[in-house]
Amino acid sequence: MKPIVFLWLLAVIVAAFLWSPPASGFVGESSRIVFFHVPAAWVASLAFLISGYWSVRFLRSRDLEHDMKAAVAVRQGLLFTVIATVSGSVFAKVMWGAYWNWDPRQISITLLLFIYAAYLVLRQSVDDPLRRAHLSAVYAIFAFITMPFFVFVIPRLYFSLHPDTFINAGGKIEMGGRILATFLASLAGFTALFALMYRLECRLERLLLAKGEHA
Amino acid sequence: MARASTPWLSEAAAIFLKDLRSELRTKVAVNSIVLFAVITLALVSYTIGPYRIPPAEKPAILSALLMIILFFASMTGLSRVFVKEEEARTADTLRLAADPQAVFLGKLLLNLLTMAGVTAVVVPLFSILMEFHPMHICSFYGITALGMLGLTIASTLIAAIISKAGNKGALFPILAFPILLPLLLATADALSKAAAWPDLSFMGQALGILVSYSGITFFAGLILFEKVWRA
Repeated sequence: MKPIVFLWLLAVIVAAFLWSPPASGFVGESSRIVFFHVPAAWVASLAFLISGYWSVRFLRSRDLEHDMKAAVAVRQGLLFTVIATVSGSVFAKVMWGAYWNWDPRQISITLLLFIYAAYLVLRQSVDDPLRRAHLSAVYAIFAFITMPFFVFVIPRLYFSLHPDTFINAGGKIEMGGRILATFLASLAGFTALFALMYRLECRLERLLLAKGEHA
Repeated sequence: MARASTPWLSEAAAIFLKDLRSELRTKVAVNSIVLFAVITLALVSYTIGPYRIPPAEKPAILSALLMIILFFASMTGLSRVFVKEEEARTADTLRLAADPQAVFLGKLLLNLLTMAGVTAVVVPLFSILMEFHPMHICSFYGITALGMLGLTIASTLIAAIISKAGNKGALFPILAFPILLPLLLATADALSKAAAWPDLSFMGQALGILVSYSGITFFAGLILFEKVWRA
């Protein structure tokens, strides 16, 4: 599995820079960032969903392995959120002239960053594993419940410069041919990379749990 | 069993009265929130003052400042309802004596009363010191009250979480901020409109957001609290 994912991503990188043409309406080659920025943001949201799912599972089962799976999703989600944020600000600098301008998308990604960071700080502040698992599961679920507000509230309060999202209001896919192929390949590659990293860290944490060291 | 025969709401009322009596004895929570808010307000007033902001910018900037002051001030005192139970080691007795939902409701009621008192002092003082006279005064106070309702409900559950963790003081705003951010932004936006807009057409949307935020966090809090309380 590992070599396939690495070869796949290598092909995606080559395609992103050499095979795919730059999209029209963007400054220079800046549109190429879509192949890395959007999949990273997608994985960041996916990780949030997974941590929410395992948090609910933990509260029902009180099984520490479920808590561990939620925590691993958050740790890796944080990594992909940082990648999405940094690549997004590079794009913002090229397109809009400033790294940061509090676009609604930038606000939502920072919110995710804050939630992930707060979750990890909370985990560090509790010593007892079972109590830590309960508190962090409740926090993750509570954050998850208030997230839709963000999706609903922010776009109504602030004006956005962000390009249309992949799934946009018109329900149209505004990418064509090579760009779309590279984009979808990258999306699949990032998801597979995340699955690989997630399984690897879960295996490591399971060993630590078996040894009696906390997740 | 005495517990089975005690209705849930009267349990909550008993917890509220117990905490109210204890709070009236020391007044730690309300004093710390009011003093913190007044200090911040004084700082804002000294550094910016009422006349440094261009009149056109006043509604947006002052509404945001008011929310920032109320958010940080509330973070100094709202956790006390749970932290004091853990510190005085009375939480275990309370766990045995009362239903978790009744505890949440009782503690929430006290926090609501505290924040109502704080808002009643801080908001008029803010208006006086910053020369801030909203166009629609009733809507302005109504939105503030609804914003503080949502803030208090969400903060009460976070307070229960942090009372069981170490490093409580710093943890409270860190955990509360991402949860409260949509509420704070929506409230600040609605306040600035209540201060400056000629009509009240924004009220429908603002009320929708604020009421549903309070409703959803209230029911989520009621369900999730038991997991925290028994952790």
